[in-house]
Amino acid sequence: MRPFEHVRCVSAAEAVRAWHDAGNEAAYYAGGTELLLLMKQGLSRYERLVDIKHIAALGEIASTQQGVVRIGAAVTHRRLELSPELQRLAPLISRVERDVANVRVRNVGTIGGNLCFAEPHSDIGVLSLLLEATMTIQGLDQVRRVPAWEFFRGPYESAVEQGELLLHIEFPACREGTRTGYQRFRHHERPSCIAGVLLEPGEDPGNCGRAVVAIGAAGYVPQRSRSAEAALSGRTWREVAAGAAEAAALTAAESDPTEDLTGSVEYKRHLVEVLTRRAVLEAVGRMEEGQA
Amino acid sequence: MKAPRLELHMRVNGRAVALEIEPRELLIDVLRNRLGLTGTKKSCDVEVCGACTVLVDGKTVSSCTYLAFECEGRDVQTIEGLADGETLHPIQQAFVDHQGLQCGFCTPGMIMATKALLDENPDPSVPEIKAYMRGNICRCTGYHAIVTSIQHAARETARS
Repeated sequence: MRPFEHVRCVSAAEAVRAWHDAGNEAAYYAGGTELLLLMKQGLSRYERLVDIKHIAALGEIASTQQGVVRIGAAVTHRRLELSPELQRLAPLISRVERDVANVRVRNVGTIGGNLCFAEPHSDIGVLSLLLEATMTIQGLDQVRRVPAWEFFRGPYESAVEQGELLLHIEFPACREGTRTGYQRFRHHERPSCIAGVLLEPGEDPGNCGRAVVAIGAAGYVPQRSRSAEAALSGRTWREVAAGAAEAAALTAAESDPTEDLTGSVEYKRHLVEVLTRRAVLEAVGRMEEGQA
Repeated sequence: MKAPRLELHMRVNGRAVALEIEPRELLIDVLRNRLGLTGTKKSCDVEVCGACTVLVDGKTVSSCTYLAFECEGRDVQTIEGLADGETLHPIQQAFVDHQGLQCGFCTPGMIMATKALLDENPDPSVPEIKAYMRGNICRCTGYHAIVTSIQHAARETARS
């Protein structure tokens, strides 16, 4: 690795200033599980690493009165996995985190780093779409909020502009009775396809009031399938289960897979269909078993 | 740029260590090249194989992709710190007794990961062992024997 300077900051404003003072030659640094790989290869070179791990607010998991769970950008995967508060308020996040990468990466890597890196195979990317998260980003003279569906711009490219710092991610509370399904197909640690389904009860608890279908890892960015969501919403639970195959076909048709080392476009579209169908059935099954 | 330098104070296997390092120095290089602790192995170099696993304040990290300055004021444990003189640690002994190693290259990482697992969960089930150890790869295909070794290590550790 080339030499660099390490600047440890204790506030977000200080960190953003420290980045700009280095004149575009700096990177924010939290866990380093993605950044250091690039720096070791010489693919990225920085004069300064601005360490944001010691900014107290970025290390917090907090819930607001509105039931929103706010996760600081420097919270590690392992804390998301083990946090009792998160297990209660957003159990899907903890459930998915148990299988992210490996325990060493989870001990060190952070949710903010994962999102900013925008690696196409990210579980957090799919979760943020599925749970309709909102990201808060700080620049030199403004703080702005970006919904998850506008956050992912391409492979390794997010809405966080040069010099901006991701502060936290907010996940809205799920309605009582909401059930989720989450399916992955993996080559060792890396998912080559992910499908997530969230089903929310309607006014009549015998109906699915609202459905969210999100997929990832198949293409460059995580995607929602509006056509599958429309097909599942407003149906009885029995109809949702019976319509799983139809919703899966709609998701596959709407998906935009990319060929990579794990398979062709055709193969990945097939995976999207199979995993979406399984995720719908998983969510309905959890409903029947009374689990989140 | 001229390399900035900083002072690093940490405890390695219970012993206080003070070094002058550059911010870019990786923990594995400090352990192996500066402190002579060559039990920790570099293999994949991308946080996947687990051969370089060491514990920082009891938590597993990939020392190949972990900056040494992060250890300031903290406790680092490596494979060299486990045995008590000539007496192997119960986890080491279990790996020997149950053929949990063949070529031995992955073993320091396997044993340090097992240490962290058992500190966190003294009586893990087989699925829990497999989930925790998924990030440690053995190319001699010895996983059955490794899981058996860990089960015996858990029993021995509980007894001692």
